[in-house]
Amino acid sequence: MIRVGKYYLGDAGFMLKRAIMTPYRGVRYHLKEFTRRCPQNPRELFNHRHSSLRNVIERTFGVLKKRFPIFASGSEPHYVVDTMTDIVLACCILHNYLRGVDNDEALIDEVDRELMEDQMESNISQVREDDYRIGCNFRDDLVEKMWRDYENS
Amino acid sequence: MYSILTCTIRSLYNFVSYIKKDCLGAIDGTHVRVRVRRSDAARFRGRKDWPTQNVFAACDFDMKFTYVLAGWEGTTSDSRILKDGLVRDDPLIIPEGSCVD
Repeated sequence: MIRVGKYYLGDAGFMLKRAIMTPYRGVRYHLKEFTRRCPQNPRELFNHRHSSLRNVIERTFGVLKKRFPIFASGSEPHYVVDTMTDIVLACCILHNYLRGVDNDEALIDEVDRELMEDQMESNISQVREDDYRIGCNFRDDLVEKMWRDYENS
Repeated sequence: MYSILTCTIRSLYNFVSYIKKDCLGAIDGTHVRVRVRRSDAARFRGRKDWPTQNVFAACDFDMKFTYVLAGWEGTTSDSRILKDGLVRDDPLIIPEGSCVD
């Protein structure tokens, strides 16, 4: 018996649960990391596909912020939280409406270019990920050796 | 380049056939700048140099928002906001399936 249901994709910052599918930690994730080498094992394959689809939310946020410059981080904020919350909701509703009537190709292209550049710059998190991966492998080796010694003693 | 492209396209095609039935889209949080009293500034200053509020959202693969929860302080983590989003009066609804053999 398998319990099936609907779910959303989330990044590694969320906890894996029935309704939220997250990627494997300590396994290559960002699309850029796969440009030189295709997925080499089941988990890498999963992460690659997860990453390809999850970026829809980053593109959507990107388009929203491009279309409504009031959300751009360069602009000085004029409104308090409650007002800003209403503006966010109103703009998201407008965004959904506009998605239906205007296919925004140019806007989306621009966002995709910027996301690609951001990925190039995220080398720091890349190093952290690599470090985590090495730590995982080291621990796994140690665990195995420890267990072997324990069983043999 | 050819092999990367085919590998990506084939991957996506396969994955889409797995997920199109049950995967609704993706979730994440982003930051929007807000004006706050000086005494509140610390609560709102998260990863950025200035006060922000967190905007948590879900969207479908057509790039339309399916849920938006704005107003949490910039210091709040996305996972904390999701937790709130799943239990509040106007929640993010993710239908649970039934048991199948």
